[in-house]
Amino acid sequence: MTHATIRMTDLRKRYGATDAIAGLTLDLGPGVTGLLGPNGAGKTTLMRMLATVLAPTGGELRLLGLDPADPGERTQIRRQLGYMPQEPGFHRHFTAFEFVDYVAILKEMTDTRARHQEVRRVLRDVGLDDVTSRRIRKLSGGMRRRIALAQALLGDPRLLVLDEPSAALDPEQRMRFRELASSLGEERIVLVSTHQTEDVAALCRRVIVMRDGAAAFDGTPAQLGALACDRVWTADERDPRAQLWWRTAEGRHRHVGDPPPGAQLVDPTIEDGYLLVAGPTAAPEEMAA
Amino acid sequence: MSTTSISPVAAPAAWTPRARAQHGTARWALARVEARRILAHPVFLLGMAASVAPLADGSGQVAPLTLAGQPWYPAGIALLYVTCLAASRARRDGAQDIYSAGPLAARVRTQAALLSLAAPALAVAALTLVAAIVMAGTDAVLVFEDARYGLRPLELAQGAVFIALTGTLGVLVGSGTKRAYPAAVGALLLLVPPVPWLSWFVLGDGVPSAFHGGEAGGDYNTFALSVGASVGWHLVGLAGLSTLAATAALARHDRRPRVALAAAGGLAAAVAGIALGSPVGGVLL
Repeated sequence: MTHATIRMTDLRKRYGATDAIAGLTLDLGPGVTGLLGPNGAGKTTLMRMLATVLAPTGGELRLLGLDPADPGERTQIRRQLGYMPQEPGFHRHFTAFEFVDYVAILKEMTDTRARHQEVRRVLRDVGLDDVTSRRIRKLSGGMRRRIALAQALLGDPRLLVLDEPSAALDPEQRMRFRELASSLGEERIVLVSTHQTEDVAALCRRVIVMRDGAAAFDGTPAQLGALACDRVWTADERDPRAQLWWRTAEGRHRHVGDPPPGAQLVDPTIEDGYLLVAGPTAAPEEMAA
Repeated sequence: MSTTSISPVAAPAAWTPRARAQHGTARWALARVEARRILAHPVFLLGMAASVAPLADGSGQVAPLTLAGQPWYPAGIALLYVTCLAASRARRDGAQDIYSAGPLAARVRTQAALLSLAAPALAVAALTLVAAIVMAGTDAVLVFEDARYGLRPLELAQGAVFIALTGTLGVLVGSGTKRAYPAAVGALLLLVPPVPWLSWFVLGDGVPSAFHGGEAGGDYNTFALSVGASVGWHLVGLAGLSTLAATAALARHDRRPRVALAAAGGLAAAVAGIALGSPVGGVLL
């Protein structure tokens, strides 16, 4: 019997002398979970391990109750897995339909009629049903992203691992993606790695902030935003005591950190909470005090 | 970017376990797709066109040489190039993560690539058969200046086997490199009889000299064709080379004893076939 969970116990991944994942212990269940973190925090390494394309160096990993280190169980996991890599790599001379159809065969969908129906369904779900016969090289970056998402949806997987799925999408498409991911998360485990805190706020039940290969925060988006309560203020001049600061469009300076007495506090956003947790490495150099 | 909108999302229909085929079925499905892509590839079509032209004109004196497969040389070169590109596709395009996350094992994908070679080989076999019937009639006897020569089925098979070999070499080279284009061009050198001892096509002792302009006994040699050797052994040699290349490609992902056994068989066949069926003395023209 398989269980609709992901269980990581002291999970580790080491590249040479660097710990990309340093002893991560987490349980994930159905619903959409957002993974935030600065570049190099270990998000993509974790996603690749959850997608069974990268083996951990240490610790224990169970996906859907199965052990990905066991070849037979790994195949069973892959039959229930949809994975959208950060950089999918397309066969640019394939049409959109041909590419997704090819991936469908790699997912052991061999009945031609049923497979083609499934390919049309996922392309329709991501809004590409009118460009199915166009070569991928002629599609925009956002459309290619949606092809990558479409192939991940093939076969109605129980576990969806989506690495930066909303990158390169325009605002309308991002909204549609949220709608799609949200509906998928009702019954499945959906893990979304992203830099978009708005996406996390809009669709995730749970958010994990990664820093230096470990979970620096694990809670709800509201809890993440609440971390910054009474810790965000604006001022006409930059305050050197702030942990982070940036200049707003209005010409004022927005600060995150421990406010000075009498500071003009403003309502925090989830991004403020994230920046507090992730620390200066999450922000461009000019933002970090 | 297009402003295509995403339709309202309905919960997708379940893909039942019963609808999932096992690896074996998926292997054939993938092989069919790869075969179609080979047959429709412009480079392969160009190679086939270059090969079919001499077939159409292969009457009279050169008919045995033509039917023994020599015209398939350009098609073989093209196929090597095309299969090399296909086998390196995932690596070249950086799509390995998507491939790896699927349940279909890498060895099954390589097996499918090898199986897909049946399509071009069958196409060549069919075209050779048609050409043989046109040139020699249904009694399979060629006549030229009072000389008669009864075609042997083994001689006709060389084109198809050669094509399978070139495709297998393409899969081998392509599955091991990210730089498919230079690798494919480099691999083409494998098809040039390297130290003129290996002719890719042979005719047996029985062909009258009137058909090839040399003396009986096998002193007629061209770029890729020799006369006066054992066609059967030559085919064994080609099949052995194909098996060797195929097992080398498979061995990247499949270390089971049966692969090693097949490789050993292929090596033995290749050595025996080359020794007994591909006469030393081919001359590069």
